Amino acid sequence: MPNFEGLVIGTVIASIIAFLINLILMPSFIKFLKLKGMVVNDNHKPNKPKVPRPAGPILLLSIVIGELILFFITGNLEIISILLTTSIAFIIGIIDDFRIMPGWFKPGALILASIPLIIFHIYDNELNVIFGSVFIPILYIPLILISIPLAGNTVNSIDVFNGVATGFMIITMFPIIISTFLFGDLEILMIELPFLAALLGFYMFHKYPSKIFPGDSGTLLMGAMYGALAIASKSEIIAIIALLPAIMNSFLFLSSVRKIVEHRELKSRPTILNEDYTLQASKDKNAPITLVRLILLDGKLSEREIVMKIYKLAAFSSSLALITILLQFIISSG
Amino acid sequence: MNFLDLKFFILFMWILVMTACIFIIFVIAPISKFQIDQNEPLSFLKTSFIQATLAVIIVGILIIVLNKFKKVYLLKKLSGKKKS
Repeated sequence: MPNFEGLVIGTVIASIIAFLINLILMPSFIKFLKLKGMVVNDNHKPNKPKVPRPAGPILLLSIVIGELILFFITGNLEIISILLTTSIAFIIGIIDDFRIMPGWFKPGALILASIPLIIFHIYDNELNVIFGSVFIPILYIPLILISIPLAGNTVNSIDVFNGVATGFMIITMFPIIISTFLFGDLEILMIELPFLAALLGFYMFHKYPSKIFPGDSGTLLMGAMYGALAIASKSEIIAIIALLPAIMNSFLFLSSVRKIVEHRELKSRPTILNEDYTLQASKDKNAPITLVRLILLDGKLSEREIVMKIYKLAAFSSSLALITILLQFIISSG
Repeated sequence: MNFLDLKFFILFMWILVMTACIFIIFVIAPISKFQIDQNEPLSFLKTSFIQATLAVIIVGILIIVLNKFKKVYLLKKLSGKKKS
């Protein structure tokens, strides 16, 4: 293992490469997808422009190359474990991108993505619950089997407008990075930075107005990697707090629909698109309750305004996560 | 921030998460101290089972409380909208 200076330089190089892969390869990939006709309508814009999908393969490539650079520097097997989890989530997503799968497929299949974390024993036997730690060597395993599908599907469900999923992930990564810096290992912090850099690179293309959509392959890999990093850095509760708006969205949806279904299977939509391309909340009692529907209860908004509102909620939940980190810091040092 | 602000909903969820953490640390975790034989695997499994059951009950209670809060929140939000 190189000295501290070598590790820092390695992390910076890995992060820059992860960022640049998105920046350099994504335009060609967008052209390739358009050529192959792999496009979907962006329904919330005039004339419904065709937007290529999925961006998952390039996003995964950037993360894998960035993290492998770190692996060759450190030899840390946790990197391989997290990459396996991310790759399995990507495969599940890409299947869902190209085939119509039932509602249970994504949460069910994502259990497989949790297995590398258990095999490589990436978790500590003690769960960090802010006010102290609980020794749960057996209970941790079912907890991981639940966490990864939950994180993957939560991020997937928030991907409703241009740039939301990626922007949301970038904002909520900051509490995880700070928590890892204060309470976790340096090696995990090193793994987090190329992931953040890859997200920033991809955001350049996913932000409003999107040039490409991540697809299920992109959102599931983002969510699964986020969950894996939260477990590896002992920041599970911090991650839950940072993800609260997305968790709230999933909770509202599930509690109103009362079953796991794909959005395309819904008979009634939670929002209505007006002629001026603003959105308003549906008045249909049978329409599912979602975060966006609640946002729109205050009045009609444009897509860009909704995206900004969701970012503000992510910033708010991340602030709560930072307060929680401060609380944990005071308790652990006192 | 007023009650009808979505941030209030998130703040309420945060309070629930923190309450659950306090309960885990001060109620569930100390149960292992009462384990009769610290080295016996069966006793260890029994304690883990009790702790897991209690944790599941807490999650269940949290979901019920959140569901009740959601109903009150939606009712107030919709009635507030009608008034305005």
